[in-house]
Amino acid sequence: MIELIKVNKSYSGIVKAVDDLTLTIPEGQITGFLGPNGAGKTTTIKIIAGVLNADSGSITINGTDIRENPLEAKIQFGYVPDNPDMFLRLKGMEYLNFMADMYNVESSLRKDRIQELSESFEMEAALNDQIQSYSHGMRQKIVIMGVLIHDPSVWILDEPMTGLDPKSSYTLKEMMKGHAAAGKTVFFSTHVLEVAEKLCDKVAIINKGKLLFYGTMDEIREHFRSNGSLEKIFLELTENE
Amino acid sequence: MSRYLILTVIMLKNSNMLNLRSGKFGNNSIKGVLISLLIFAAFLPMMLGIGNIVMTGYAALSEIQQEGLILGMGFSISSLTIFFFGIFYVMSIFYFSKDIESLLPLPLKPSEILAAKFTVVLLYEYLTEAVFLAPILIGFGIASKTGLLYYLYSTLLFLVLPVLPLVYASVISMLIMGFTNLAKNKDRFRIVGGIIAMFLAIGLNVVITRLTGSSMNALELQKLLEQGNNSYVGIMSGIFFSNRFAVMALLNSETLKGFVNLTLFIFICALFVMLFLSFGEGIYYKGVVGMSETSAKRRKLSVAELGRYGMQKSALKAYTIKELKLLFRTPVYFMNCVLMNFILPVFIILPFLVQPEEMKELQGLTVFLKDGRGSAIALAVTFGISVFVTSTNGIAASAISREGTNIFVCKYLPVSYKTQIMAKVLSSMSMGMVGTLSMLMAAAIFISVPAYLMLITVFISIFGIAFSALAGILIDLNFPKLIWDNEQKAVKQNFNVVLNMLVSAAVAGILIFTIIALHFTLWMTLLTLVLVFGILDLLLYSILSRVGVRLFERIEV
Repeated sequence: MIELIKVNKSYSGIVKAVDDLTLTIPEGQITGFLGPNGAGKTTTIKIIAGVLNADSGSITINGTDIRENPLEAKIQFGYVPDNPDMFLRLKGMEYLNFMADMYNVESSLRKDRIQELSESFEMEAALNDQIQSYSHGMRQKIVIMGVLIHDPSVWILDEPMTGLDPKSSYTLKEMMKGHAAAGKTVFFSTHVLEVAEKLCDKVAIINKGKLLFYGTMDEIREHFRSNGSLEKIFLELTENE
Repeated sequence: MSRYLILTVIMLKNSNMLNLRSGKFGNNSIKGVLISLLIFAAFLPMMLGIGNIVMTGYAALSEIQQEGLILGMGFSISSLTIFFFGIFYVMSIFYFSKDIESLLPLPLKPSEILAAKFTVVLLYEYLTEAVFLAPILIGFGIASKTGLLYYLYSTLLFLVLPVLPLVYASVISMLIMGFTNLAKNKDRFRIVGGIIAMFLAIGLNVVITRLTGSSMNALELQKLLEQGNNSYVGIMSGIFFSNRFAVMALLNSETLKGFVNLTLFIFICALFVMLFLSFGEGIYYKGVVGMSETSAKRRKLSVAELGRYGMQKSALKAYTIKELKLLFRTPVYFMNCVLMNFILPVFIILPFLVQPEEMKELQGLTVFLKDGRGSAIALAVTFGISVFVTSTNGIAASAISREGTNIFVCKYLPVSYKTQIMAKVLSSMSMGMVGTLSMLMAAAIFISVPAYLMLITVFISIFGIAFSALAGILIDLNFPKLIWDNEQKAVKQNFNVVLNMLVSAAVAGILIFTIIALHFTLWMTLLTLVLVFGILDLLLYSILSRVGVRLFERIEV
């Protein structure tokens, strides 16, 4: 579970990127995070992951405050950033083992996980090459694998489907469903509304740092008395702001 | 022409020449300005010193009418320095800069990109020149009480002088990069190319020194000097042949002869720029297109290999290894931070290769080392060098800066900032140790150093290396330079490295001076170094554990 209470963040004290955001992301469900470009999605996710400091408010992950007990909180989640261009001069294998060492994953356990993950994402043949030789999609996959290697209970994914081929995208979606079904937390941002519509149990829509709507797909339709697609609702909702 | 100007302006805007962060934090730009002032203040004594030497030298040399020698040497040394730095700048700005990938698809001629990049490098070189050549020109001007025209000519020459050495550096780099770009494993070949370029620069240095040294014997030289009339300037030759026109222009700034020489000098430089651009038009893209390609084998790992890779390590160890791997595999980091530690002995051996007679004098050193006071001085000096070397390789002082915008990764890893800082310190210390050991080994080849002295030196240098590394990362935590578009900016164009060098040089210098001045014995030296640096290291460690961690926490991109 992720809990945000009255979180604020502004850049240079003028532009409010996150405005008094209160949000509870429950266990056992997939929660989608939607909003137009520059709405504050990535900033919010970075605050949850401890990459950015909030100006005020509190963030807890499975009950642990990220500001007060950062290490304890960080070990709970796996975070996939929006840009997978990192550790380019490490081999895929070296990167995975580096992450495993950071998260203190035992040797025997990590071997099985690496095998499992690389099979699911069809990355077995690439592991011995440097990440800079990977395509965008492959980089995305290796970052996701590095995050899943310690089997975190909370997944925080920033645009995880970007650049993935249909097969890998399908695999990831199935994994997200499986993770939520096992009673754990999945929180991800996306621009692809069809994906959100089909995959999410709940969606949170934000614009200009403010939460516009938070609820299940049924609730959203009821609330807007609409039988239209999420796309139509989303466009109307963010247009009127 | 206008496209060239637009490109140059864009590149300069993009390059953020000062060590300021992108304005998100107001107080940091104040810190940045302060640090620039501090560094200027640190160079000021050196600049004043140079100016002073020039003025004294002028008084002596003008009596035999050879004052032109000062300008000649000033221009020669400046040209060589510019050439040497130029190779690094050219490599990074022409080839390793990230803007290349966005420039290549645009409808630009190779020569237009080259001209803009050449201008950017030229501007960087003015900074190098300002420290060294400017005081010479000003000192000479004051001493010779010359007119306004001299200063006008000086300014022009100051601006044009780097052109020729930079053309040389560019052409050499373009040839090497054109060749290494054919290779499959580009990173490795680029590293090899860089090493070749560096040795070429050093080798050329040796050859020039030897040529000018042996081209005439002492008697001839004396005759020439006695002729007066600045005759010595006439024999200035070598690859920077045009410098003699520059000297003549300044010496005769009041007459037509000066003007003719100035015109000639500028004309030669312009000619070389034209040659360089037309040469580059043909060869530049050969080196730069496909730069970002990397080789990949796509070979599946066996289960056994999976197991071998997957041995669990502590976070500190894994992090330190990661740091070292990135240092060794990224060409720019390898060239600037790693290679220096290995080739340090070359610089020590070099003077003896240039002048073999001096080898004999080394025998005296062996005797010197047997003496208690001699070994104390040797210990202190070696210690000082190891402190300095560790700061020169810049690994600690750029450890945070090198993360660049990917610094966010450090933030979400479940590893304390203290562990991350210490892993970076350890990676810096291990390379500092390599530098110290390779230096000691080089020394051991030429002189017989007693084994106990060797051991003591290795032991004690750990304290000094730790000091440099701890101080370096503390500086970098204060002023991280995270916004850069090529890796060179994180390590070479980073004032933190310079600041770390100044601090380390000052601390080591004071201590060595004290030890020599107070006639310390070997054991007193050892004790002093252990005590002073042990305390300093502990102090820095505890500052890093608290203040350093807080600074790390606050860094945001």
